[in-house]
This record gives sequence, structure tokens and C-alpha cells, in this order.
Amino acid sequence: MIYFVLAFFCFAFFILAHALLYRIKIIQFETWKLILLFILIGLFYLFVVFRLVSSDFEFRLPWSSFVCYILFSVWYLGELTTVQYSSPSMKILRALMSKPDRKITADQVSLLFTDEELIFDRLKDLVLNGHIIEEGGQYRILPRGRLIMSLFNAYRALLGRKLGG
Amino acid sequence: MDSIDLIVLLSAGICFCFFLVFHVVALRIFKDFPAPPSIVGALLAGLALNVVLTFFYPGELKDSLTILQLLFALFVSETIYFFLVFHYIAFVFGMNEASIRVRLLFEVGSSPVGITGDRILQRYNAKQIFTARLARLISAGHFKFDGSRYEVKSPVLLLQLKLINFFKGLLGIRKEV
Repeated sequence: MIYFVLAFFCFAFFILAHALLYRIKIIQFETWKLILLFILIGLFYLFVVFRLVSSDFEFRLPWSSFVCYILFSVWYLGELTTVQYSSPSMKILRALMSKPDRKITADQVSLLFTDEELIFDRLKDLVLNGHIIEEGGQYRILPRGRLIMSLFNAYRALLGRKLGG
Repeated sequence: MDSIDLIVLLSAGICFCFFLVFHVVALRIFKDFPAPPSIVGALLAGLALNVVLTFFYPGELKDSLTILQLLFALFVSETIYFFLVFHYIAFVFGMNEASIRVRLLFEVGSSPVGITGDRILQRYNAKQIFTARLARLISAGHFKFDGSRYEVKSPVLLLQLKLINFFKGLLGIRKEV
């Protein structure tokens, strides 16, 4: 159990270290900095496990616990995305929770969303990330975007799902 | 690597592969039905298989472990399996189902000569997005609709909202609700 507790401690340390570094503006939401912090704490776990913890235990789960640390941390990284960007579902939920009776109509939901925010802001993101290009008011897909599109196309064909979004 | 460590990891990995196959088959068979029951069914089948693999692993190893140790090994294996499924749903399946950016890539990519913003809006717009989102929230059991208004049905989304607010508080970001 000591390995699992240590892995959980490292995960909690990862969150707290990020919170501290965020507040002093050293690491905000930059992916590479977050991954670097995650790797450093992971190396700390491996060092403690293989150098400091006695190998006399009969019941050892060092690698399983390490995988838990990785999976917990990936969960936190996913949560950070939802902290950074409010999804349409969360926006609906927030609006609903702000109502006195905690209920919302479709018309009230419609007021929360605009084409500018949901479509054009995202098109700008896709242009900035090199997935599509805009020329003379026309959007065209670039090889990088086509690759992602092909992957999702194959995945959707495998699952037999319709176009999402 | 210790044998029990290997069993825990292998068992979680095998169950995750089993989940992937199971959910593809279930989604294809029940393609006219909402996805959540197929996904939950595949998840539960994988959890059950993990119990079988951990407790009935062929070998003498389990004889040297106490029942509490075996139960703890099962707990760790189920945790790994659960998070593998969770990340797959969040980052792969969910992205295909709900990502607006992925959908926009398809809208742009389906026009070889290019497409204008207005033409995109004719095919995909904010109204379609929130209508689909509300329908998905109902089919997933998060919301219920009484004929005129929507309300929260399951606590899962509220928990997610609390988590977001918790992390915002931790990072010192202003909370919205």
C-alpha cells in the first residue's frame, strides 16, 4: 500500500506545486511546463521507490502505483482545460444554477450562445493552430487538419457513429 | 517487476482492450440508440472481467497473498482500468461526439475549393449546437425536460462544476458561480 499512498501523495504534490507556481506566475496553463513538472515529480516517485523504500516487502506494486500517478495527473491536466475554457454544457449548467428555481428554458439557453463565440472564435483557433487557412473570406483545410479529419473519419466509421459536434 | 505488479497492470490493460472491443460491438449493434448505455455496459463488463482475471489468475502467486492483499491489488487494477476508460471517453470518444472544432474541420474539409463563414453557418451554427447539446445532456441522464424547462437530474455534472470551482479557487481564479 505504501507505493499507492506515495503515488497519491505525488499526485497531490503535483496539483499543489502547480497551484503555487500558478499564483506566482511561473507556470500558468503552458502544456510543456506542466508536463515538465509532472515528469520531475514522477522521477521523484521513482527515486523514492527504488532508492529509499525497502525491497523486503512481499507485496509490491511500484509500477502499478506509478501508472496510477500518471493517470491521475492526466485527469488533472484534463480538468485544467475545463478550468481554462468553459464548455457549452458547463455554460448551460451555470446559467441553470443561477436561476432561483434551478430550471431553464430552451429560449434562455439560446441567449447564452452566439455564432461568433461558438463558430468564428473556433475557426480562428483552427487557423492559428495551422489546421485550416483563411484566404479572401474562404476557409480551406490544410494537411494537418486533413490528417485529424481522416483519423476521426476512420474512427467514426469503426464505431458506426454519425457526425458529432 | 514483481509478479503481482505485472498481474495488476496486465489485468487492467486486458480489460481496457476488452472494453474497446465491447463498446465498438455494442455501439454498432445498438446504433439507433443513445451511446451512454452501450458505454456503461462495456465499462461494467470490463470491471467484472478484471475481478475474474485478478482472482483467478492461473499460477501459484495468489496462494502466497492474503485476501486483503488480493483485494487491494484488485482495487489498484480497477482504478487503472477505470481511468484508462475515463481518459478514452474524455479525449477520444467525447471529442468525436461533441467537439465543435472537429466538426468545423469536417465542414471546411468537405469543400475542396473552400467555404465561406456564411456557408458554414447554413450547415452548422449555434442553434444546432445547443439543441444537440441539450439532447445529449438528456440522453446521458444529466438533465430532464418537463416539456417546457430543463433541470438537473444527476449529480455528475454538478460535481464537475464543483471540481472546476475548486480548482479555480486553488489557482486563485475568480469563480463564475
